[in-house]
Amino acid sequence: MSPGEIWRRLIFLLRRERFREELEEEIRIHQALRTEANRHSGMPLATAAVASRRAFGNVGAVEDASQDAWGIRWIEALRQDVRYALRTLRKSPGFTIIAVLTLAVGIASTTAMFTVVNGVLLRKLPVREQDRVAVMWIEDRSSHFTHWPFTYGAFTSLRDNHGAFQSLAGIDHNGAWSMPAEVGDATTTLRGGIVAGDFFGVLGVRPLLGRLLNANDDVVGGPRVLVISYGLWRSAFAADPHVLGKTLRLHGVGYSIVGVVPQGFEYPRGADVWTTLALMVPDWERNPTQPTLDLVGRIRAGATPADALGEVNSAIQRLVPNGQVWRPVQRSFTDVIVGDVRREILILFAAALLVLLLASVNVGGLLLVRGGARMREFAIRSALGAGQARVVRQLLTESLVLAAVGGLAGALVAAWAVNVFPKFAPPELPRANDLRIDGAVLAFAFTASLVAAVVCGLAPALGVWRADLSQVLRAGTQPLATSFWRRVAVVGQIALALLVVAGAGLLTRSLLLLSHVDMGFATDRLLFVRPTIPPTKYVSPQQVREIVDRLVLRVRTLPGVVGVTAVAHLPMSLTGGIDMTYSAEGQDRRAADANPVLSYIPAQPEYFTTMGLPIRRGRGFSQQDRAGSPLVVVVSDAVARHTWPGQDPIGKRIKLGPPDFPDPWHTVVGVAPETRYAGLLNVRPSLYVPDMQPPSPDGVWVPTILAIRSRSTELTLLPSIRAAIKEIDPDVTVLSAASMNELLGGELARPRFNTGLLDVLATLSLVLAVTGLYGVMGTHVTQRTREMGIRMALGADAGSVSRHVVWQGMQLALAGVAAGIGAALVGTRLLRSLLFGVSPVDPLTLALATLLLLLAALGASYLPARRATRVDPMVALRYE
Amino acid sequence: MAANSLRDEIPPGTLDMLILKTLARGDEMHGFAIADAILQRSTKVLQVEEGSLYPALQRMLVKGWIVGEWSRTEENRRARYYRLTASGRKHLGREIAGYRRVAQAISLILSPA
Repeated sequence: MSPGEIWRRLIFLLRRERFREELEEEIRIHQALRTEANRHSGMPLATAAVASRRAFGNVGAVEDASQDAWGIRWIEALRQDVRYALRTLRKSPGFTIIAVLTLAVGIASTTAMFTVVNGVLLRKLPVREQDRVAVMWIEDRSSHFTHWPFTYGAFTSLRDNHGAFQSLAGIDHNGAWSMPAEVGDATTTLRGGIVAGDFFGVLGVRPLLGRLLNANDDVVGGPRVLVISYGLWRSAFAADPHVLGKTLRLHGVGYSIVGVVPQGFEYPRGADVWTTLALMVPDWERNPTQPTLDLVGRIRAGATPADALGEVNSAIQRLVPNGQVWRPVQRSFTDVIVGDVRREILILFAAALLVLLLASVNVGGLLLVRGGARMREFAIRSALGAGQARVVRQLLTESLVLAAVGGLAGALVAAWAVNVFPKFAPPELPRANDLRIDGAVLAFAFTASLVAAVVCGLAPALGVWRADLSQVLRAGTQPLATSFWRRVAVVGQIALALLVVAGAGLLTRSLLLLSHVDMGFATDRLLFVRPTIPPTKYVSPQQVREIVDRLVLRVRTLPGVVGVTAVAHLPMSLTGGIDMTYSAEGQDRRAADANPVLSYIPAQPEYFTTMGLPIRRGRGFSQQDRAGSPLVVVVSDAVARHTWPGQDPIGKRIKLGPPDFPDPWHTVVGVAPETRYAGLLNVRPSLYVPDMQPPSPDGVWVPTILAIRSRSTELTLLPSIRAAIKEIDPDVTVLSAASMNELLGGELARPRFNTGLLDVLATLSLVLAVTGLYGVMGTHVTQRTREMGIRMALGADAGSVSRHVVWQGMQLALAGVAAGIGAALVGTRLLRSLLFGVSPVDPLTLALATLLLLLAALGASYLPARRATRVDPMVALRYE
Repeated sequence: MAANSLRDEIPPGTLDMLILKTLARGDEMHGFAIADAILQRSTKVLQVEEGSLYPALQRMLVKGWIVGEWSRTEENRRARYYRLTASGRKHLGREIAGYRRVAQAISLILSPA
């Protein structure tokens, strides 16, 4: 069928009323003209008209045939069916409301989850041919460092090589940096991505406004320019089309805005602005041996990612110091953007699909019961000449109408969910602000409705198809299908519900464990305040150290403050310290290679008391541990246990780096417990070094963040802290402040979000499965009214009748639970990476989930059972 | 009415071709004129059951071989006038060629050898 033809058919479809009128008019004219012609040839008027009609043939048939030519007669038939279905459904509003709501719940949850799948995983990024973009970094072969950047020299060499890469750019491996910024008069914190080379050109991103950065911007001493994110453009500049050329200050230095990055481009994640390496960090970052960049390469047509990887590997061997211990890691661009959330989104989507399945099966059950009650109607229609196929079609139309209404309601709920979603979504979820109802989502909702309609309409339709309708009028109402299949369906429903409930139980347990996990240090009443230290005013590390010391001393005098110390890194920032390797005295190269990687943490004398980190053995630091005095360190338990098993670690000596590295020896003076300072899931062996004894004289890691332990609620102190800081230097302001509990909350946002969603889906599954059981047991009791009556007439007491019914319900539940346990033992393994401190086949969780389902099933069987005992034997025997 | 019995029914499948051919001769014609023209042209041998013209016209409208437009007859009556399109003309060519081949083959079989 050509496009033109489809178009003409569509137009026709929309204007078929007019079509009919025109055809009728055409036929009238034809007949009139023929009549006239006949009269001309001498016929009398009456004969001429008759002859004209006879020559024309059957007008009705001609009209039908003409309409058939457009091939849309089925639409007319469908309209009839739909109208009839609507009338039938209106007649039983109770059934209709329950069925529509059930389907709406199923379709809404799947569609809402699909919106996330679509928005986060499926929709193309605003990048040209994203499948040909590869992102690379390196890892060492012993996997101490799983994400290490390339040196600047390796980057330039690969870029100029023109091998498997058509083009190559770099991006700071740290992701987006938090930077103090001034937008107009407002001071704020912005997250900035630092890129090298023709970053946006390699990715093929088109600017929304102005231009994006290119290689000419990555020049030391060039004009300071940056581009801003769509989000920042909207929030800070009210989507001003004249934003180009305005100035934005980062770290007190002005950058001119040259472009706006399109919506949905979020790399590095969370970036508000992008500028270049040469402009931002002109000196030491561009040192050819300085590890700085992840590589972003577009692979040449004809070359494969493996070619590119090989090329990169040989460059590493040539250019990276100690090249043989490193190997390149390559990820697709999509993986880098969404990789780590893919699994959880897909799991939630699968759970939503199960909810839809459960809902459809329930409505199918309802339709079966209803169909059974309507057998007489079908038989009469069939006796009046409707073919069996016609009756089946009518039934399917009814379920389609139900699903369509449910689908509409579902789509509305999904649209609402999309608006609410970003408010609850954890910050780690990429592209969450970018979710929308688009064609794919609508197509999905439509398909989901269609599938639901088929699933729930199939059983009754098949029942009617197989039934001998002519028998129905003689024999009276009969159940539509053997209740066998309904029982199987209920067993399946309970099994699936148990699977989802068990999964939700596992996530809930790990969330509970996670939120009560021992952090290793005291998390209550602890506040972190990050001051801005203007780099123009405090240039050398020494000057920075001095101002920070003054701030610490001043804040310490505030009432309500118990302790203050300066730290180098915020907790939960995944960089509790700087990753370092070490060697102990007496270790050879091989033994040193087996050592764990350490978090290097510069600590002041007050560090341990303020953080509530107990020194288990030996001592902490004092004012005497300064530059020039003997070098000392505190190690964490794991380091001590690994390095000196069974020995006293106090007095042992270690150095940073491999055994032959020219670092001086540091003496261990104390042992502290492990902490989860870097992240809830990140227990890192740590090395605490007095901040006055830095490994290099320039003291790159001068601690500038104030950790403040308070007597009571920490956040109430904030105004006085701000005032105190301002008092020391009005140019120093508070960049950010967060309590430890807030930081923990941020860390828990993602598991909380996943758990919350899965809990909702599990609740829905449970309710649906139990409702399904209730429906089956209800029908069971209704159909057995007579049997119950006889039993009771023969002397069975109410108790035994009700026990009998309950037992039958519980048999189904037990079968379902047994199957469900089997399914859960296999299915929950998918959750493994999302679990914390609990095994995917945790017996306690599984037992609780089983118990929950059985209790619910007991309730669902008991209600019909109670009805069974109310049967009056006399009535029951007269029944039918 | 007696004349009817002398007329032959149109061979099945050829109606489209006859309509297209009729339209290919002149410009726009309405349904009655097309039916009449087929009758006249065939020296009144071929009889269109006039009603069957209309489903055929609709089929050809769907295919895009003809287009129809309402306008006035000489007697100032409203009528739908049909006109051949380029693709209709192409289709007619194909139909005629095909028809000729078949007719030739049949006549070969029927001719006394």
